[in-house]
Amino acid sequence: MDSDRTTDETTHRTVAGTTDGTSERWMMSSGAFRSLVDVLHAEFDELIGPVVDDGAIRLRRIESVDALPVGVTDEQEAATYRVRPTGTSLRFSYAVGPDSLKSVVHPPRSPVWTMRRRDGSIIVDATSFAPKTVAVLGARACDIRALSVLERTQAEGAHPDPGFVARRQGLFLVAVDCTHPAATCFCTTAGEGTAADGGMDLALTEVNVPRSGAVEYLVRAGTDRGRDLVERLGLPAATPALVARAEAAVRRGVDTMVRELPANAEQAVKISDHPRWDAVAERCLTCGNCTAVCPTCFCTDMDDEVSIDGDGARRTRVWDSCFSMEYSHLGPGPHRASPKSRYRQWLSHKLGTWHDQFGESGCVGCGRCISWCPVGIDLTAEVEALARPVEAG
Amino acid sequence: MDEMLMPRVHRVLRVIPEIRDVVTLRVVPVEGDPPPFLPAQIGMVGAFGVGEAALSISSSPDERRFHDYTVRRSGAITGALNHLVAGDELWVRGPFGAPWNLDVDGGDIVIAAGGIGLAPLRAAIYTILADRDRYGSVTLVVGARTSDGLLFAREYDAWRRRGLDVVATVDEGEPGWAGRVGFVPSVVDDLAVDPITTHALVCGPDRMMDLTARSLVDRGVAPERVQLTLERNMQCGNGRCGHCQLGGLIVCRDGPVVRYADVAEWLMVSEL
Repeated sequence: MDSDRTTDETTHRTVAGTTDGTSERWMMSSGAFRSLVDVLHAEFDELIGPVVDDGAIRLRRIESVDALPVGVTDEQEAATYRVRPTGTSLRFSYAVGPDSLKSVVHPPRSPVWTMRRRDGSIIVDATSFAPKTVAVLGARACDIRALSVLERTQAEGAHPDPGFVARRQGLFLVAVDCTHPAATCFCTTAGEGTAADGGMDLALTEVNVPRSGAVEYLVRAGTDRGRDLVERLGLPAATPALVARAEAAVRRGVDTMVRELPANAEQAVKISDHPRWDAVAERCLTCGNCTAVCPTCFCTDMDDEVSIDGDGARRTRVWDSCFSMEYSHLGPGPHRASPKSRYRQWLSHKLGTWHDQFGESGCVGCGRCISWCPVGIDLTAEVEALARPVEAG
Repeated sequence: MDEMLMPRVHRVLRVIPEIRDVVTLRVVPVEGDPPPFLPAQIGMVGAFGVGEAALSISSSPDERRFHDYTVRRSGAITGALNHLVAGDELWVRGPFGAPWNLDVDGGDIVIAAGGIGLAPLRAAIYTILADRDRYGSVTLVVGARTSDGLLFAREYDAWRRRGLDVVATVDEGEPGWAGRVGFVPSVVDDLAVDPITTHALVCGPDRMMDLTARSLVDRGVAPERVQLTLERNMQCGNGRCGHCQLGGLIVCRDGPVVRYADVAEWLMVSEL
């Protein structure tokens, strides 16, 4: 598949574009896009897509194309997220909201077991789950990358999490390339770029139709399931002109990206006695927003609820955060009591020891932790400071 | 459901009082046999309606009728476990984790335990004594604040008869105490060790383990031959929940037993 694509040097990704007229690229009109959404809605238990809700672009269940936002973008900066109208008819002219695919495959709450006590005996019932098929429309390349990072944490080794595996298998991903990255994005230096290349079933690049207010899409397939869907939709092959416009749109997006992750991040965050940790602890509220919005933060807690009569108990696996005091609890109390140690745990794990544990970085450069930090701590700036020699720190 | 997360109901056969605030729970599955395990492996032991604690099995791996868990009361969960009586039910997940590596044929072994740290070592001691001829000299240095805090003290003489050199030490001298006085690492300092043949198994507070390991490493024992067992907040036991990290280690997956060589850079970093 890769041999018939060309690699864009700027994005490190395979975008559309080839000298070979027979390559797998198709054109999808706005009308065909509507049909795509209808097919996804009809054929999957759930269809999830971007929706303007709570003043943000959220991933929610949708029924039809009409639920998708049109002509909006997201303004993001440290501690800032705003949805703004653009006046265009583009449906995907924004970056990422607070939700990621993490919520889909690794939900905030998942039941584990229930227990009853009767006449002194304990009876355990495993919670059964019926895996659903879920189509996600508008998944970003950073989040698809994050999905594979999460997969390593939850589904590798001798005992993969069966819930995660089932949810991942039930997923059909329609990626949309980022043509409007936010000011907080830095995927080209942390992750793999703005255009999906693998891990998705279909990938779309949204472009304006020249001299018209309409939009159209360049379509690529990542799997046979995706290819089948293209065939059923009867999409025509893409013209070289469409391919060129899509490539240009992706490239323009990459060119707007301002933030960068220093290349030596892995080493920098492992300097455990760097004075910058004290400086960042002065600002960090240890609220855990960054871990909640991070598409790869996977930590969970076992939450046990006991019924009011004391004879029933229910265990739920819930998202946890290394910023909480209870997270590192040991007999005598929390092992990481200071805010400094908790921030250091988060960042040094994400960018440093994640490599030791899972063979790669835990950061994909989506920038969510920057936007949603209430005090505007910027991961890229912190790493830059940690990477400076201690004397200058 | 994830089998690693599924509890297995056990019944308490006996509660054996040990030292103050410490009991040994002798447990057996309500259905089926106790699963096989290796020394230092951990079970998540749960009290109904309260929660689970990560405890290493303190009985012998050759004992197939029951498992012993030695518990010190320190919080709500271990407090509830301390209140159990014979006949009560509890649950266990596991066992899991990396065990002591006892495949050190012909080697001398130094075992160093601080306080409750002897619990994860007792299974190793039983295993070594069951095959005593495989090893050279085997020395246990066990320390406690006071003599009544020496765990499993009633067994020391039996262990001595079977070829274990037991050196008990207390932090400060006390009337009637004829044994060593001083912290475990300083007693280890005084042991004659052959750096070529010596292996070590160490369990106790992080600082005690670090000092003990250094005492041996400074005298030429390879840091790969010094094994420690780590305590962190284990929750899932399957390396998936993130709680028990120490630097690049996920303790329930990569430990609890680790080589000093693999943990030295992280062990003494405060709040890491």
